[in-house]
Amino acid sequence: MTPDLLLFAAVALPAFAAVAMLVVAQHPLARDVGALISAVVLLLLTAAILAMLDPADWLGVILAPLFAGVPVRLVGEPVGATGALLASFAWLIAVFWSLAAPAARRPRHPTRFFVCGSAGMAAAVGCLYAGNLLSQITFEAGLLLATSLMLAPSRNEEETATHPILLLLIAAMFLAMVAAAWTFLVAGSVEFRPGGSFAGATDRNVAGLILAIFALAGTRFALLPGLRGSLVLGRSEVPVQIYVATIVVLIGGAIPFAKATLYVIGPATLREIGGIDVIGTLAIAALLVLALRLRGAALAERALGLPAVQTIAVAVTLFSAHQAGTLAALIVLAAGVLAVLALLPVVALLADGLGPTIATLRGEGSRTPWLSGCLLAIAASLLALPPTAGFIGTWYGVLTTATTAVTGPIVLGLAPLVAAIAVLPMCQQLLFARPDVSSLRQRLPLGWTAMLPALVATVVLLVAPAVIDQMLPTFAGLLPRGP
Amino acid sequence: MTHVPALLVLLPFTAAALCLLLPIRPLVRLFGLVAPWVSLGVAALVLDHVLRVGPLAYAFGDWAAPSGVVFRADGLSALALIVTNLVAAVLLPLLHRDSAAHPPGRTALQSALALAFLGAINGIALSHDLFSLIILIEIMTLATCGLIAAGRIRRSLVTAFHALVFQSTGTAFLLMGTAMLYARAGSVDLLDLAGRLAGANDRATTIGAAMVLLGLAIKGGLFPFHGWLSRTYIDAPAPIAAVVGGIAPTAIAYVLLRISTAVLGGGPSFLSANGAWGLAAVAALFVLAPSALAALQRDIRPVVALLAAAHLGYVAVGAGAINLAGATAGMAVIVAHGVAVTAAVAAIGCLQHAQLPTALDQLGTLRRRSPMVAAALACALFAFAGVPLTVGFAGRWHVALGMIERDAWAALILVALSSGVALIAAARVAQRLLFGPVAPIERPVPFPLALSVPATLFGLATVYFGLNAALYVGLADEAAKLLMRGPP
Repeated sequence: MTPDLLLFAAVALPAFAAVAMLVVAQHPLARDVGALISAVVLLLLTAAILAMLDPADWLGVILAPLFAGVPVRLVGEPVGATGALLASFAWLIAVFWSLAAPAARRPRHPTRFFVCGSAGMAAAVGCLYAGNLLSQITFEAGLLLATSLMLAPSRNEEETATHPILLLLIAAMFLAMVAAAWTFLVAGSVEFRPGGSFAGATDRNVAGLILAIFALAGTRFALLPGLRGSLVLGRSEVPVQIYVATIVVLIGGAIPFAKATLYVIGPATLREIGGIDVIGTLAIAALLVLALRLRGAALAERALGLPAVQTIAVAVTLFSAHQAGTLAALIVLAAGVLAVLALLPVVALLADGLGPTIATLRGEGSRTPWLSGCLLAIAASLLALPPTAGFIGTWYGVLTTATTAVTGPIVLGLAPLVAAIAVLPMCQQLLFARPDVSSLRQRLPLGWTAMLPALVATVVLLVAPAVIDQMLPTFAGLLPRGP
Repeated sequence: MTHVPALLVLLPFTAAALCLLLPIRPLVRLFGLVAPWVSLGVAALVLDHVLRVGPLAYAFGDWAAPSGVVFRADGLSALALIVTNLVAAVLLPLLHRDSAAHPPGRTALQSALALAFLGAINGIALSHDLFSLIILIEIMTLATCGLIAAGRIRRSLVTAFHALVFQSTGTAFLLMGTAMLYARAGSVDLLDLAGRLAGANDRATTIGAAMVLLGLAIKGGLFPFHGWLSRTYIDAPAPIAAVVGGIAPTAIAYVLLRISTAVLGGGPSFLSANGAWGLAAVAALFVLAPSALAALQRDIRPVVALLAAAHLGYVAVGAGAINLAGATAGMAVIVAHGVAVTAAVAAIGCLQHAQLPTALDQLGTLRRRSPMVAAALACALFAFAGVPLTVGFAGRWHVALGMIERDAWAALILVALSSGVALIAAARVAQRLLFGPVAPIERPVPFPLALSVPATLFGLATVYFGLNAALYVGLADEAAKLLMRGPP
């Protein structure tokens, strides 16, 4: 298979799977098998694309001509390809859970979940591989529509509860469109280029404003936990939580912003713009608000607040404006995605077996050794303890941001502390609190198949540092050089 | 080739006259079938000539402008001709298949009205003086009202009367505005008028220009003057509603764009000096308000009517930008409007004809009855919302470019906001179409070909032109450049 065909297949496969699953909706077995196979093949495709990347020549394929000189184009470049690999892994875990979880925790409308999820994956992968801003907006619109169809099935409480998420997605899409239109007028192009399009094209104020709009669009979900009643996903099914929290929020927000920063604004212009202290101060304020919001939250809400923390950490690392900064941001992102991906199923299983609040976890660690072990590993990564993936990300992030401003390291140091507020009380209650005698007769309805998605995600999180260590030199060579 | 512009008007009018003079059913059907396609062919010839050679002009009786009546075809009018004739060529030949659109005993009259409507539309696209425009718009109005009144239910007659009242009000404003501009400039020829009004900022010019634009807004069915179009979608025979909704507002929007950009753009201050805030007001009234109302509706018909009105509002916003990107946006929106409205109105017509529920919560039935028509309706609504990969996106993109170029930030925010709200309205409908409950139907009424074929074809066209926007955006851009250059 040629690289351009692989790129096309990575978008076409989930889109085709969505249509096929809609057609075979009456046959649950065919639908479920189709969903699992398409998720596995998508993961393999994105891994193959990452392995085939060439720093000198971005492989690419045009999907539609759109306007003259501005086609809908996919390109294989390191930042988007990393995001696509993470997103396809997250989707596989979501599908895996939908099939393996206890019946009560599976999606209530499986066809809708698989169809909308597959269509959303096609759009997400397209957005991550987008070759220009217009292509990115095009696929973001697809992601928005698929997500809205998945989240709002009927007129009920869930529908109104998920409005903030959809409104943020819509706002982000139109912000990105405004930024893209402005970029087109300023730079005469919306194409992604290794050095950016802005060098010498405009003054730093205009470039700064455009960057601010991109940042607002990319980090929109950092605002989410601050909105009243917006941690609504806690009431959704776990696969929906995984899809939204990791693919739509974390990867779908951070990677397009990273690409705009790196390939449109460009490292040289980014350095000219400056303002890292302002961004850092805003990020610190956002993290403090998040910490307050997460302090008294229920189990699921604690896990769902973490993508916002990771988004802020990634965004601040990106502002360090050189090759190492991008590399560090990608490691921070990967560690965050893997941690959230493992945490959501673990928390769901704990909440399912014991209860939705922290108090119900009291002393149950001995009865749930595997889940407790997973939770400890995840907490270690979120707290950036060595030798976890979270530690590597934070370490590189601090090293690179320290060269530009003092606020960067503060943000990257604060992020694990906010994560600790969310996760440490769970570990403390589960492992060290005295058990509640009245709950001892209850039996946890957990089989191995139910725990498998959580275990797989945790194992990948634990293996990640070794993989990152192996891939780091190769990957650094793929990224465009900074000034 | 110089006679071709005249042919575009004379051919449908002659066919209409023959329908009345020779009311033999097969002959009338033949005229109804052939004339729109011949007209489309001639429009394609005109477009080809404009692209290869340049603008075409035909002076009636060799009386040159500004004294004589001259039909001119440039890039803008050629594009408008292609869109309106494409819609007419698909819809008009199918009218006779619908008994509501062609009641027994009225076939000849209905065919004559439809062909006169087409002739008037072609004339509007080609005419370059205000007086001829008013006459041709009036012919279009009378034909429209006659077509609407053909419905066998009493409400059709009331709706026709309603449309007549709105249209007459619009005509009154248009006529008074024209008179004031003529009194000020001494000419009604558009090119001549543009030269004479350049820099004019007196009260007569300002009021005259405002009246002309208001008249066109009423006749085009812009919000809040869209009532007659909404009622047409509900009460007129469905194929007639598709013809009227798909073609008439498109043609009027074209006139609005040409007059506000090429004729009045250099004149009254409300179109230039106070541009940024004026533009924000235009965006709030014509675009944001109908989009917001559409998001609150519980029936598909007002949703379509309001979203279509909001979509047409982007022509006013683009025209108000008075720059190249704005004019290109206006033209791109006109093309998108012709395609998307036809798909949406024909799909609604299918629902009404088959007596299926039109409440949003019951739209799932349409998916079961015809997935293609359901998909066409969803695509059309997404096009109204400016979703990428639909025909509506190019217009939205160029509107954003025009606003940024003009430094009209408030208008840009309002446009982005209304696009978001329109997207919410469209997504609500799509949710119900895709996942809504399916009501059991005891005796399903088949969808008429006169509606299901146009709905499907234009539904596919919304995606095709969305994927290949370069097909018409390049031409719109060239036409806009010519338009912005002003009189030679």
